[in-house]
Amino acid sequence: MLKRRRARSPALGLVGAGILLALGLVALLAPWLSPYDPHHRASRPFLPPSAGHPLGTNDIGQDIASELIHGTRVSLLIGVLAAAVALSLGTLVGLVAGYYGGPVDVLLMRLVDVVLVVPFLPLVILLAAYLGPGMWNTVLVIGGLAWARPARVIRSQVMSLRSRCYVVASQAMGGRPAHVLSGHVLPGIMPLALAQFVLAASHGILVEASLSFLGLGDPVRKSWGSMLHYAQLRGAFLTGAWRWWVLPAGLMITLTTLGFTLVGYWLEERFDPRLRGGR
Amino acid sequence: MDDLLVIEDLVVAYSGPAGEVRAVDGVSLRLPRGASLGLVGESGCGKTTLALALVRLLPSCASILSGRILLEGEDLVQMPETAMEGVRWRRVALIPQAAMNSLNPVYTVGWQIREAIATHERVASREADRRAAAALELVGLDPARRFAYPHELSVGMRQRVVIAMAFACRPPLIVADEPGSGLDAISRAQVLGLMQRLRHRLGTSFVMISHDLEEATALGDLVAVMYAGKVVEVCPAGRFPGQARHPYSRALAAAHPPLRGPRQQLTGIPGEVPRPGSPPPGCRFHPRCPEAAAACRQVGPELSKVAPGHHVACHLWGGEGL
Amino acid sequence: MTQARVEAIELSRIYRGSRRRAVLAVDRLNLAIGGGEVFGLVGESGSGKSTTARLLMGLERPTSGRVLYRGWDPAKRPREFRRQAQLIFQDPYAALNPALRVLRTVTEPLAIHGVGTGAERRRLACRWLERVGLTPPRDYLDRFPHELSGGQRQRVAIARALILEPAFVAADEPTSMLDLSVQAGILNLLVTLQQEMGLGCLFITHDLAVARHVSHRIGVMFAGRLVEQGPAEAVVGTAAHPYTRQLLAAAAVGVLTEEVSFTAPSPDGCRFGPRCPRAGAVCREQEPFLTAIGDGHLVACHFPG
Repeated sequence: MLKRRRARSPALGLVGAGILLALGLVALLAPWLSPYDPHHRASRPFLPPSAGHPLGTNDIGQDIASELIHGTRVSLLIGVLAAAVALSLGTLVGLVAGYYGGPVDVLLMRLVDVVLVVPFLPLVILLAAYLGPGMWNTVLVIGGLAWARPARVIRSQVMSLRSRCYVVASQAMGGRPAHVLSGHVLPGIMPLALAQFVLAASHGILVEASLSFLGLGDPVRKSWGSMLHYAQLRGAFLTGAWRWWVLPAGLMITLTTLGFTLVGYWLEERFDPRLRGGR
Repeated sequence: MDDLLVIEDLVVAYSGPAGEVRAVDGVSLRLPRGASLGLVGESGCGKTTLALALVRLLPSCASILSGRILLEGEDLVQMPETAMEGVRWRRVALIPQAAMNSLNPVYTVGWQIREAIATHERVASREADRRAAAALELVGLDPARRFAYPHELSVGMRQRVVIAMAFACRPPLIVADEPGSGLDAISRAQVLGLMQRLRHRLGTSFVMISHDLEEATALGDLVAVMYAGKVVEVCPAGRFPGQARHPYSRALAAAHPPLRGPRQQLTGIPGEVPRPGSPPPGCRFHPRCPEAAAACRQVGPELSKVAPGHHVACHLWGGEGL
Repeated sequence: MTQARVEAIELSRIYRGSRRRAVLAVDRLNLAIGGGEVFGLVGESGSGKSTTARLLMGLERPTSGRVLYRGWDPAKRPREFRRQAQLIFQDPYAALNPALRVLRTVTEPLAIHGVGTGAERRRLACRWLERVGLTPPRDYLDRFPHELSGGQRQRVAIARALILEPAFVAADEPTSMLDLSVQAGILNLLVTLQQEMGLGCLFITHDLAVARHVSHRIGVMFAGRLVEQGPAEAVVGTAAHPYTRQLLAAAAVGVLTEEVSFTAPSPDGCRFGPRCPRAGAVCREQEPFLTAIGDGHLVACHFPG
């Protein structure tokens, strides 16, 4: 059973990487790929799919396919930025807690526990509503709450690295914490941090979609979540329009999360010493 | 003579990305009933592979290519796995390397000895428990220790438990792979002393594998020196290392500083054991041998007799054939 | 003897174990190692040898007592101390960062202490690789640890420890994980370098023969205490403590026939008591302290000889 899972995961990781690559290309080439400018009225509103509008038009006559393609940019960008914030914080906390240990470690880890225990989505919604809509606010809110998991994973790796002979050797030679951390510890946690980054990005995209769906996202940028928000507002969920207005955006979110998750689990399995233990 | 174990021209190879690599390459040895053999050599010489081959517990990437292993006249190489299960532990037991660290931490040691007995023999659980207690007593541990968990015992005591397990079914042959490594000098000497006593009391034969000369000769009636997959010297333990002939054997003996007498520069052996995949041509030891001659670079020497029971594979000691 | 390089004064280290059980890893240890002197510390695993090394190197804080380096407290001038005192580890596989090439590993102390430019460091690394017998150095500079054998790795570790030309080195069983044939080369190298550089050296080993080979003086540790200490030849030749004698018998014959006792020592008495063939009533009641029995030869036993 275990063996089969292990044998399959590199292939799954590759599938994930393929999905992400394709999405990345779509995001980069959005202006050239999309048939219309998503912010302009292209046709009459509420058009069903046709040759000119493969996914029809929305409530104000914008081309849904173009919205979808441009939404890739915003969704990916926010997801990646939020993950970057989460990882920077998480790595810093993990490094400090794991390396210094003692009371510093206890304090930081209790903080991690608190963040992990608090119901995530309600808090995000609350904070986003309080700070007001806007891309940077979304990034900060997600990043500011998603750092706890990477912090904990990285801390345990730092603790295992800290007792390695070559780390002790470096300390014995007189290496200051900055030298030891950057020269020996940080390189050792990079692979793990990468895996955590990918997982955090997938999480970030999902949360961004949720916020935008609730109308707490950036109102001027088209994201998949905001598309769903307007679709819901105009009752697309109740009419036949859900097939071209709701489903594609939902599928894109699922696909992106899937891509990130596959890559993330694959990386994590490769680099996390605890998951690798059975080998 | 009644031979307990006869190894004939055994070849064990690992299959890897670079093709097949012979870790044991044509080893022949014979061990009379009740006698013990010490097998010495540096790491990477094929000792452990040979030990695992003797109990047919080689990893899946390794296989016996040719040769025979006759235990009491029966060829273990050809034996089907089901029959081998009946042989293992009951007729030949293995004490693997660092076994004391691989006891299961969640079971008591008594449970683990009972389990070893019950897997190999049909016994009632009360009988198995009685024998587990007896086995512990045999190795100098209080039988009450069978209720202890491995972490409650010192390393030396755990190694005794492992020895007790090997003796549990009273096999005529025990293969011990570096039983003293990981122990400090005193516990090691005590464990070796224990094995010596048990051997005399029960008449068990040992194949004692070690890179340490003292350990290998501690039980030995015979000593075999292995280098790069081949046996280069076999002699009675009494002649080792004093009258050892092979330059490799003598170099091994000179590598450790003496405890008494004048301090002198140690010689050591320059270079490294060749990788099993690409042994040098001719005598495999010639690149590191201080006495290598032209012939050594071209022709691999065969074992030849230099004294009764003493065989050397070296061009410097051409004697009568085996 | 010149002024002591490193001194331990009533040094103790207690570990708080599980179930509030305190473990006396090192107990009131007194030790002085001079310049150019090798002090061999011998004992079984768990006797506190490695903890002593870590305490002397300032990698761990003593519970009580203190360490002096050339008469001053290393904790007061850590940079200077770290430059002059170096450590060599037991496991050459773990002591080198697997991700760094030999050049970076060997020059790490130079980088830490800001010595020399890149080119100078490289030259120095070459010179030291040559000195530890890795020739030609060019072939080794760009290799990773996994491309080296155990002996070669230990040579790299030695080059790294000595590149700053320290005055004191603690070597924690530097050869115990190596093959005999390789061990000889490393021991020779250490002895040569120690003599050339006039190093003060703490050499930890469980092998008395090795200790005698490299050391001027030997200390024997048992359960956190020094039980015997003296000139190497005296300790090996006329061992006075029964534990030292057991170690010698184990080293000389390889086999000990007497049975062992696994009982715990009494709290006030001699810690070796339960394992001691000579133990009398006084040994259960009173702990013996180090007393001189010869020129610089001390033993902690009620019935020495």
